[in-house]
Amino acid sequence: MKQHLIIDNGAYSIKAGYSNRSAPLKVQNSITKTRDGLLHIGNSYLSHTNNYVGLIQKRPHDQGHLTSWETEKPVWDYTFDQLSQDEIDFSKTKLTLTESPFQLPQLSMNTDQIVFEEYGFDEYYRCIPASLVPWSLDMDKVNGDFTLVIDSGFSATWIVPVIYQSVYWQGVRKLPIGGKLLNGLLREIISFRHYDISDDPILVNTIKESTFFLATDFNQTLKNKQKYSCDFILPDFKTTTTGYMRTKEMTLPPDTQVLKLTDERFSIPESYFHPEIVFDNTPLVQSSPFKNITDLIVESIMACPEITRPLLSANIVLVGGSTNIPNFKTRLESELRRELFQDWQVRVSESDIPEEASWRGGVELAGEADVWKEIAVKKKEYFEHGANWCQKRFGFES
Amino acid sequence: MLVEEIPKSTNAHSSTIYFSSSINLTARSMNKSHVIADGGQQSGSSGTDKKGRAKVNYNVNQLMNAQIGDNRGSGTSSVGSGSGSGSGGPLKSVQQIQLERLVSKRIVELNQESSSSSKTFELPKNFTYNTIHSAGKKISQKSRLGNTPSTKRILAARRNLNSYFEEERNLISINTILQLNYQFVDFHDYENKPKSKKQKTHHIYRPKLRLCCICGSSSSYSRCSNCGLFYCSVKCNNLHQQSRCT
Repeated sequence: MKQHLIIDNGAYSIKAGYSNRSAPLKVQNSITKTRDGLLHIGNSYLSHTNNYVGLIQKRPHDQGHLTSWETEKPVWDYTFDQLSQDEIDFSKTKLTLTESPFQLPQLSMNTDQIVFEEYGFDEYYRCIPASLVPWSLDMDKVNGDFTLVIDSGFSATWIVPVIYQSVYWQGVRKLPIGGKLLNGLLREIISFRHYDISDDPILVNTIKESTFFLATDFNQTLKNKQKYSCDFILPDFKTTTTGYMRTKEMTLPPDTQVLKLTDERFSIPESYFHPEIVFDNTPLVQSSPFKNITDLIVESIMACPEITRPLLSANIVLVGGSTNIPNFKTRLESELRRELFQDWQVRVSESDIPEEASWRGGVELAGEADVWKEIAVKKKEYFEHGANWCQKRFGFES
Repeated sequence: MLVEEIPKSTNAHSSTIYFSSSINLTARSMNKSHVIADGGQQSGSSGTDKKGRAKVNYNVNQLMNAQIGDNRGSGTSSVGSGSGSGSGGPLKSVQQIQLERLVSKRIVELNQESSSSSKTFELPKNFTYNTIHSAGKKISQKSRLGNTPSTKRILAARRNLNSYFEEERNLISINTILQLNYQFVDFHDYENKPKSKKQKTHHIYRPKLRLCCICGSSSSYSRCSNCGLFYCSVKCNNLHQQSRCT
C-alpha cells in the first residue's frame, strides 16, 4: 500500500502529514541562527534555546516565491524525520505539494526536479493551496463547486475563485499584505513609541498573534481607543520567555515590564481595509487611490463568468494563518454586504483551524482515487517528458 | 522624409494610426513581431508603403497592451510582451512607475524581519540536516548535495529572487507575475484622465484614513507641510517637528 504525503509548503510554516493522520505536523519553514552562532533547522530552536532575542531566521521563500532550495532541503529533511519513526521510502510515497500562485515557472520547475530527482517520489501533484480548500468543506454549509477562497497567509493575501475544483485564473487577485507585513508595521510603531524591538522578530510575532483584532467600526473604535487598550507582559526570561497578554484577574510581580497597547491593536490589521496605512505619506502615494481587500474581492467576482458570480459571493471561505485575527470574518462580511448587489447572498465562512484548511483539503483529495489518477504525474512520466511538461500540467494559465 | 502621414482610408485602423516612420526601425526590433502580427490583420500592403519603406506601428494603445500583458478579462495572449524590461515597461506613465517604485520599496522594507544591520546570514557550505536514520549508513558528501547534475545545480544556486526575474525577463507571463503586487494600486486616473464629470463619478473612493503619526488617533488637521505626515493636535505636531519630521 502506497502512502500519501500532503505538504502545504507555506512561507511561515510547513503543514505536512500522511493522509491517514487527523492533523498535520507544523514545522516552521526557516533556519534559525541564535546569538551564539548556532544554526537550528525548523522547530528545533524552540527546544534548544529559550532566549529568543536576536534570533535571525532565514526563510526559503522570498516574496512568496520558493527561491532558496539550499535552505528548504534541510527543513524538509528535518520535517520527514519528525513525521515518521522509520525512514520514509519515497519511491512508495505519493506527494501533494502546494506552492504560491503565479510562482515563477523556473522556480516551480526547480521544485519538480527536487521532488523527483532528489527525493524520488513515485507520484506527485503540485497546486496552489487555495485549490485544495473546496475539498475539505462541509457541503451542507458551503457549496464546494463554486467557492471563493481568501487565503491570507504570511507573505500575501490571495483571492482565488475555484469553480468546479479548478482555479479560475482570470479572477485571481493579490493584496500584498500578509502576516509578515503586519509584523513590520508593528515593529515600526512599537520601536517608535515604546521600546526598540527591531531585533526581536519572535516577540513581534507573538504580540501580533496575541493582541490584534479587527474593529467592527474602525472610527468608533479609534475614538474609544482607551477602552480597547491591553497590557502585554514582556518576557523577563524567568517566568516567561515569549511574553503574554494580561487578563483582568492576573496579579503581577512589581518589577514586571509591561507594554501598553491601544490603537496598535486594531490600526495595524486595519491595513487590509485601508492599505494607505501601510504606505509613506508622500504626495504621490497620498493622491492615488488604493483598493482594499473588499474591492479586490468584488473585482475578482466580477472577473468570473456572470452566472457564477452570485454563487461565489455566497460561498466565500477564509483560510490562512492571518485570518486568525479575531473579527476578520464579521468585518469582511459587513464590508462586502455594502459593496455587492442587494439580491446576492453574501456569506463568509471560516474554517476551524484556518492555517490547516488546505492540508485537510489535500487529505480529502487523496481519498478520491479516480481524480488522483487524472491529475498526478508519475515518476516514470516525469523522466520521459521532463520538467517543462510538468510545469505545463501544474502551472498557472495566464 | 522619414516621417509621413498615412493617407486616410488605407486600412481599417486608420483612426488610431497617424504617422509612419522609418526612424528607429532597427532599434524597435523587439516590437517587430507585434507589428507583423498586426500587419497580417490589416491590408496586405501595410507592411511596406509605396516607396518600399517599412511602416512602423505607432498605435500607442496596442503597444501599451502588449507591454503590460493585459491578462484580465479579454484573455488575449500578450504577443509582444517580451520587450518589457522587468517591472516598468517604457509606456507606463511616469507617475505610475514612480508609484510602483515607492510601493514596492515600502513593502520590501516592511517585509524585512529584523533590523538592517543583521538582516541575513549565509549558510555554511555543505550545510545539511543530519538525519537520525543515517547513523548506520555512511553517506558520502557528494550524494548529499544533489543526486543528479540538475538538482546539484539547484541546491548550490544561492540566488535571490531578482536574479531569477532577470533571467526570465523574456518569459511571456513575466509581466503578469510582476504586476501582481500592484493590483491593489489604482492607476486608472493616470492612464486616461476623466473627460467629463459623468465619468468622474464612476470611481468613488472611500475617504482615506488620516492617522496621527505620533499617537495614532484620527487627524482632522492637514498634513505637515514638510514631510506629509498627519498630526492630530498641537502637542503632537510639536513632538513631530522634533522627532519624526525629516
